[in-house]
Amino acid sequence: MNDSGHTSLPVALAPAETAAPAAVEHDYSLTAVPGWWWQPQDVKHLIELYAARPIFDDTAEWLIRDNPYRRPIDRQSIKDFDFSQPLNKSAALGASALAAHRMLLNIYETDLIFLPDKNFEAKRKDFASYYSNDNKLLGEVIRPTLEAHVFDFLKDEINVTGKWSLEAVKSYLQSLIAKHEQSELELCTAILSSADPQRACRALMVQLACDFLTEASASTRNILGKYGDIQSEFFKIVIDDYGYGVHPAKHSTLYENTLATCGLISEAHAYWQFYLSSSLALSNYYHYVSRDHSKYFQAIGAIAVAESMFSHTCHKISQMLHAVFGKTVDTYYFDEHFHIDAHHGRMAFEHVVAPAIERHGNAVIPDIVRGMEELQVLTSLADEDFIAQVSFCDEAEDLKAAGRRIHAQILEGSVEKPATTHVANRSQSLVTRVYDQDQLYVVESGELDLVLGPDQTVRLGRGEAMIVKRERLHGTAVVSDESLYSVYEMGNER
Amino acid sequence: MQVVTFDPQQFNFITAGESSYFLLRLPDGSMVLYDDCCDHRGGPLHLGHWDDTRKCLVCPWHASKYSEKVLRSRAIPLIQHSGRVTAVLDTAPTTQIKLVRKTILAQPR
Ligand code: FES
Ligand SMILES: [Fe+2]
Ligand SMILES: [Fe+2]
Repeated sequence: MNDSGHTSLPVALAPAETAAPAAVEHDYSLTAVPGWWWQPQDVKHLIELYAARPIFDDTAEWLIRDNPYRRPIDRQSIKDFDFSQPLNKSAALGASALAAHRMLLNIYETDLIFLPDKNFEAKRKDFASYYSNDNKLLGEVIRPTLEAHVFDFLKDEINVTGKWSLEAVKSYLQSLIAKHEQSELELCTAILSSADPQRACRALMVQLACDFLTEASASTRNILGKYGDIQSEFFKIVIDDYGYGVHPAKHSTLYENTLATCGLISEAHAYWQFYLSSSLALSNYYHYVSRDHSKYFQAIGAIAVAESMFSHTCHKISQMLHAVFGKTVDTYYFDEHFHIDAHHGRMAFEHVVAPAIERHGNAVIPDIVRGMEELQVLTSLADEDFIAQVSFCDEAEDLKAAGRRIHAQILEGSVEKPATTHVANRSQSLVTRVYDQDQLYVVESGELDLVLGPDQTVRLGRGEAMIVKRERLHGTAVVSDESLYSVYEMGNER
Repeated sequence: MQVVTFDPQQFNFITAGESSYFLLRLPDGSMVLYDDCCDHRGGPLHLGHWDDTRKCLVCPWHASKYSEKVLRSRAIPLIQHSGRVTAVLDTAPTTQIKLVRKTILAQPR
């Protein structure tokens, strides 16, 4: 037997006499007790490992063609971010949020099936890597930290109190819908008044592609399991999204047609590099509340609001698309939702939310209302972010002029700003970024491209400069054999 | 056209090629044979329910309503005689017809 002094197996298995180790007396939470399962610095290290996975590396092109597993995060910057603390709302569009949302979508979407249209063999390694246990396990370990980083601010933003009833929820939802249906969408107004409405419109279609090309995948998680007739009512909503099993009628197929007539690619995540973090946040939110089923009541609240409001939103977007592109654009995706989501809104409330409250009691209402509110916060954040990006793209020439002026002031010494100087060869690997402060790019030699969108690039030659505002998505690429350029940190004064 | 005669106790659902029809006994006891495919999005009408207050059949998918009047006026030509029913289906003579028994959830109680 064992005489070496190690504990023998029978002793280890005698639970009655064995005092549990102190740490286990917590509530068995692996993630909620800091320092028990892993230390914050361990998570930081794991996040860096995750971002360093080759499939998440920078790409050779801005558009990622027919490879749904290549999803750059920004490996270079990741070590500068502190994911250990929740962001507050004012930082929700910042650099660490963008990286966190990219990682979260990568993590959530390993539950979905993506296959390239062509040439699977050439992408087989990426496919295997994306769906590997390594990738999934590592993702799961870092997920709670990332979710807290980008979504915990919602807990501070929203407080639901008081004595709620089904009637109160109903009146509240109706008032939301009524208000929404009277509104002109700011989004559409911004596009129509943009200096280049077609470009702005395409930019919107790119943002929506993040979610619409996999439409309903996240909320489909809520139809699994066994929970009575409400489950079947939920399923009915999804039947329409999936086109009753007829591929041309599937909502994502309708969206592919819209993309095509706007001159855009419909491969999944071809525009990954151009998703704003607020667009990623919206997609991620549905996963966040639909994957963790303790958030089921939040999920049905969010879905009831989304379905109820989407009809009007689609009506406005359809009109806007026609105003911008004329007759050639296929708006059927939006026309279909204008029609069918009028039903879905009603179905989601009457057949899912209301019976859930009747069956499970008024105590579930605060979660339902929280879901309704959180979705609205994220939607308006996405609108704000998108509108800011449109005006940033519109102002490119002004930002060049402003850049030249400020650079002149820096040269003559009347303004002082910290700078980093880069000497770089022609760029081979590309990733888009946002910064938490305004930046001034100044090219000393060679040529540098500032990429503001899939169809907008500003080329800076020797002596040229441009300001890139904080939180505005852009990529940089040296397009000469060599370039020397400086980046000045402008701080946050407006 | 094809003419089919059957015992409504034994069969209550007909498939004829791509189409299907179900037998529904209305509250007054009369019987109609109705196309199973909802006008809206093709929802399976026999899996709908009968709304007793509004006296109409409700589609299970998005709740389109079919009043007694509509059901009667648009139903398939049908004769009830001596406990048997005869239906006149607007299908090509070569279309394969099958008689089935199903649970008609839409049946008024
Ligand atoms: S399919 Fe019958 S109501 Fe929509
Ligand atoms: Fe849809
Ligand atoms: Fe819908």
